[in-house]
Amino acid sequence: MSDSAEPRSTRVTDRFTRSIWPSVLALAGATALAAMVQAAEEPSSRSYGASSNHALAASLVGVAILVAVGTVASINRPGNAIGRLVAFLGILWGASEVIGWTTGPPLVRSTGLVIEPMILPILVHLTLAFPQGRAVGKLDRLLISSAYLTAILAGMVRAAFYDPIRDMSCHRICSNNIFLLDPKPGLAHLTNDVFLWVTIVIGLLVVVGVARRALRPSSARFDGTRIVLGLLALSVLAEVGRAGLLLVDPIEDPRTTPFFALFIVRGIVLALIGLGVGWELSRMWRVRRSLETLAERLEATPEVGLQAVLADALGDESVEVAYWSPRLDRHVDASGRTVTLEPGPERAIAAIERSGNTLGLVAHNPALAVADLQREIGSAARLAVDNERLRAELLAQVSEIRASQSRIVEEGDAMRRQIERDLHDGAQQRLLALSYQVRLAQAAAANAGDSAAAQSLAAASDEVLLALADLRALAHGIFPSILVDGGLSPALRALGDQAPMPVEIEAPTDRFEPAVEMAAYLTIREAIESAGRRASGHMRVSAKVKDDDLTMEILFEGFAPPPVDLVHSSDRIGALGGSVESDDDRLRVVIPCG
Amino acid sequence: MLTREGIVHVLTVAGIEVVAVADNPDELLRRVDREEPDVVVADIRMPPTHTHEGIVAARRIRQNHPNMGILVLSQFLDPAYALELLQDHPERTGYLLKDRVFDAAVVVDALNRIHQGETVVDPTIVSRLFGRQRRENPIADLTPREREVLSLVAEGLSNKGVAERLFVTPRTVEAHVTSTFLKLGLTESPDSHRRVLAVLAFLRA
Repeated sequence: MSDSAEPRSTRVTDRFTRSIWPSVLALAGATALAAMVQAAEEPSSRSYGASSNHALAASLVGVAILVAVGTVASINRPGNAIGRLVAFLGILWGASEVIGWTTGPPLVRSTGLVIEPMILPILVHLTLAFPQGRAVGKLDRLLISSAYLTAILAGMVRAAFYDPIRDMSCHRICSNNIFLLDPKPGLAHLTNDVFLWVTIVIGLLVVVGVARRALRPSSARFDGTRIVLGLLALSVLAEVGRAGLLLVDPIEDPRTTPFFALFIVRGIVLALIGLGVGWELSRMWRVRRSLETLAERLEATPEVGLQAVLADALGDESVEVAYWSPRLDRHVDASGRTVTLEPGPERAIAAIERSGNTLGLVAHNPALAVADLQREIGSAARLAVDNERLRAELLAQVSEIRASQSRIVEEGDAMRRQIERDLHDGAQQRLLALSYQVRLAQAAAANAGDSAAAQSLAAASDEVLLALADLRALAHGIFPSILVDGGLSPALRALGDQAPMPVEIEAPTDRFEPAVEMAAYLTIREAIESAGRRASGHMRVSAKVKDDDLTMEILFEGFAPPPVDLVHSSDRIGALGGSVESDDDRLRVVIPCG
Repeated sequence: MLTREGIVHVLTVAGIEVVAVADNPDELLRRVDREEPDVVVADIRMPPTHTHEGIVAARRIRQNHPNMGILVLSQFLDPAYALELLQDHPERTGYLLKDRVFDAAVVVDALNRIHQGETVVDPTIVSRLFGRQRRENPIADLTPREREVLSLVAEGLSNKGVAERLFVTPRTVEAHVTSTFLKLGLTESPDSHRRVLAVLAFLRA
């Protein structure tokens, strides 16, 4: 990102665009303004300014604003074409007035005549490239290049073959054309008509395109660019209107109402466009200034975070920050979640680097940002960003550990469930078979009159039943089937049924994720077990679902001090991102279940 | 499986005719439709998931054959399973722990009671409910005899059945039941099946 790394030629071009362009624009603008005033002062002029002071004022103000804003913008954002386009527009607008300066220098007049058609492509280019300075869509680029092509052709034909003096319908332009090679009135006329039709078609397509763009949702808090876009579309429509009017009435007389009214409208709209672009420019300055203070703001309110501070500075709600975690080899957001930022039509991705290392990426709306966001974020801010990055990475690692903890717990549960099933389907079946055989033997002994054998077999049968009961208790301890079959509510009640002290249970009948149910169940079981050793009081368990959390309150009454010792279940609660809080006489367990 | 063969043997020796044997819920439902037995004996755990298919199958049988008896064998001591089974239709329904399947006396008695329209709840479950710790224990106010009567009622016995067990007259049982229900604040229902559910619900509350 350092300047010295850039190739020399880029720096030369850079210097050129930074210093030469603005001077050229300012000079051309000043010339146009002076010529317009001169043209208006000449009573024989056919310019709008000569026919009305209002028209003169409108056009002078429009040209001055456009050239001034355009020049400043091209100094400020040399990489962005918008400034130059706005200044061109002002110069061309002035040029179209100078055409009517009958007594003016022929070179100035003829130049105005030749470059006048360029208003169309410049306006189309400006409209479709606003505000990034680049048209994105294929159709947009096609429209721009065809507008340039037809305007240049029209200008060249005008220069070479149009003789205003031979034109029956000339009004503003009835003086000599110094570029004329060979007067061909038929060709000149035809070319002019074709150009007017092309203006109408391209103009309407541009307006439709702008309307579709304006209907898209915007990420901006206040979208000034839309207002400017609307004015640009209006201005294109005015050009379409003027083309239509010229097709109907080729004599452009500034004193006739339709032409005069249209001129005033064009003048006002162009002046407003200049103001709008100027406002956007000042917004850019404000953005820059607030980016300069980014470090202080990040330091003052670290809890707000880069994303919110940047969104505020840019006035862009779509700002997203992704931090690069070299350890995890992926991008994470401030809370440690994995994110992928994709560029889009209204979404640019800027990288933030610090001493050669990528800190992260910022996705934003390029229309609202300064040209080089990376450069504007100062080194002090980068330190704060790096801190934020480290915290995000830490959070991501914590959540990774938590996920692996959950997986371990889940695997363990699956295994326990399998063991429980194996006990039932294997050992229990064998014990049942054994009890059957013992009973058969017992019956046989009784039939044979061997009462001693029958008695001892009866005792054996009782032992088998005890073994079955033990096995059942063991299997239930390993994995509580009722939790899976019936859910938390019946499972907790079953726990309460066997507790050595009274336990009141209040639980929702909703079903939750198996891991959540298991954690909740084991928590209560552990609470009962640890309380059971000193079973003197009673417990009240109340489980509720609130805001995507399963909240359990375990109240110990008559225990002093209350037994709060969740050694095993706190791991599970932690693995699910939950928490345990203990109070004088109660435990509060919160498990996220949303 | 040995258990199934063992049960068949125990029942046959006890003079009960086994008309069909099935090893999965679908087969069970098919055989039940065809053979229309007096009572169906079903394991709570059956393929495919080995959880509580027996209860699901019992519900299906109930829908198609409202008067057929059903005895579910379970390895679960939790009263929730028994209540889930009995809730909708307690009459001619039974819930026994698997441990007892080879105790011919218990099984045959259960089958006969179910066949006669009674409800059967495994005594182990009832005694677990009785053993539950309570903050205010109204059961403590009962006389030992009343407690005995109440637990037999919870096992699903009718007044006549209780009388036979305790070697007293049905009238005495009736008097005990009335006083017990009064003490516990339960309303006595003439329907003995609803009475089972009421007592179980009370014990569980």
